[in-house]
Amino acid sequence: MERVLRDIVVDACCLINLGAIADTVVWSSRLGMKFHVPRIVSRESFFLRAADADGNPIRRPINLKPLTDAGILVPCDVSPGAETGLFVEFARDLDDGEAMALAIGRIRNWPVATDDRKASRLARNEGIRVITTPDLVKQIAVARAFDGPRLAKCLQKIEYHACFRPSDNHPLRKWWTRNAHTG
Amino acid sequence: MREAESVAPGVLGQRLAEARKACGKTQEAAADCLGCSRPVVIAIEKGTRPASADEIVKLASFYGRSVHEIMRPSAPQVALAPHLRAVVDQSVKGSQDLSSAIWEMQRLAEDYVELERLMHAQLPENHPPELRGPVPSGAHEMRALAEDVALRERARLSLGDQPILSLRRVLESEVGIRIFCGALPSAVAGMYAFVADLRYCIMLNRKHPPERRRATLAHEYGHFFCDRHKPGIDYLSEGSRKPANERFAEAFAMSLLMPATGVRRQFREIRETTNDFQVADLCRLSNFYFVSVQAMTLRLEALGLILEGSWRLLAENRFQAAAAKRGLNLSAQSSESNDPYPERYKFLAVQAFQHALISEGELAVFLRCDRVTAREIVRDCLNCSDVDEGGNEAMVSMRFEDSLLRSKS
Repeated sequence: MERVLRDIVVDACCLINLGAIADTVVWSSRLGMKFHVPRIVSRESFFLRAADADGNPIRRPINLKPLTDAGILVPCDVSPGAETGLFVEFARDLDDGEAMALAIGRIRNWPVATDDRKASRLARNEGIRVITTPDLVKQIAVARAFDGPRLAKCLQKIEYHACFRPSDNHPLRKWWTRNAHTG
Repeated sequence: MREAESVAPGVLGQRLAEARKACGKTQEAAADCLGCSRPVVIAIEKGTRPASADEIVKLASFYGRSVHEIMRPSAPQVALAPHLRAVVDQSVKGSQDLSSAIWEMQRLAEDYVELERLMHAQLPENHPPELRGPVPSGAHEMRALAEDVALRERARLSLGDQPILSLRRVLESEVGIRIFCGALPSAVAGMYAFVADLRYCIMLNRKHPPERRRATLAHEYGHFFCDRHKPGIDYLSEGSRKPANERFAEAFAMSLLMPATGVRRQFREIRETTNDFQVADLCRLSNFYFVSVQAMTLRLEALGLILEGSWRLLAENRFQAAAAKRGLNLSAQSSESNDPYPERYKFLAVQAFQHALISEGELAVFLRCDRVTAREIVRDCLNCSDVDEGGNEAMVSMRFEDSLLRSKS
């Protein structure tokens, strides 16, 4: 079984998905995973889909505090010089959060957690390891030995609140669908 | 190493200068931010001294822009903003908001062009001819010209003499105009500018009711005939006597939205059926053409179908159009949207994202929304609802790239 990754730099699209299952991620803190969030990403306001008491759709701000308090989310920044130079170069192709995540991942040799196809392509071109939300959730589920209804609920939360589902050609698409809807 | 071409120092300098001006900062302030002298900032803006990565990051943050906005590969466009800023009436309340809206219009137009570049999808161009010579100053001649131009334009666009369900969609898709809705100050109805690279761009006040926006759109389109190359901002205040081009645009808008032949026919049918034409009929007719009751009344007056001064009388009697329409159970029937950008713009952005030509972060910026909303927009664009064999509503995923002409082997 693959060992659980320790230091991962997270871009915004993956952070939103993790925000949708913050309780599960906090519960998994003993795995020792550390998600480094670029300063620019952590300053952005993120929202999740939710419903009010009458069932009308609303936007709910993501509360990342439990993750920060648990030491799972750690803010990070590009250092002057090489990292900043690389950040500005990546910013030609990507938005600032994505560019900063890739620059930090490349220089510090950390995997980058992203579900974005363009960011993934650029990262792989640079030899940066990419992991996606399904990879992360599967790692947590395997390491903490949970499946069935608990895993299904977790995947459904990501689907509903973060409006995310892996693409048709993602290697874990079948795993995701099977566990999300048959748990 | 990167996919996008590097940005030339001249282009980078121009963008930094534009960003600085847009937020009202001076070159001295920029120099203070960098801890250098003003001539260094001037050299960076001129492109004679390349900015370092650290300087770019500092300046972008100081100007409230993302580094991506400054570094993105699209070529700099011919700016709309300076032309429009030159015609801002500083005495009108909210000129700072107007300044922001002008920049937003510029950015939306640039983003639109960038999406077209990425998707190799040129905006179709089907512009009407410009008027030959100046607009006549005589009221009768001017109105006759506006009527004639509107009639010819309806014929050119095969619109007949029926109400136009969505004028915005017609002008975007049939003529090739970029139409945006933005947060303009309440006193401003809309603005327009034409530059060759960006084409004719119009921004409407999204806070105004749909009938008002539609009238403003028709009015701004009128300017496309009479003063295409002169940018303008249209204020609501009537003030002193309007210039001939404004009066032409107004008359053109009335004729385009309420074509004389159609209005006369509708009016005659009501009269023949009821032997009268009452305020309720006026409300129904305004609803039919999706214009305000005031605009409908003035049009009927201008066509000589009702007595001149009818609107003045109604206004003096404190006629409440909204309450009257509610009382008659008349609901809005037009599909004029107040989305910030055209539907085509949205589809281009979604397609560019599906092709992984733009990232999710860029998509959210293009669509002016948060990321989860951007995900919903993608999902909604790629799925349509249908009814399955059991009569239940089901979502059907659509593959836009499938050819309907080539056979599948």
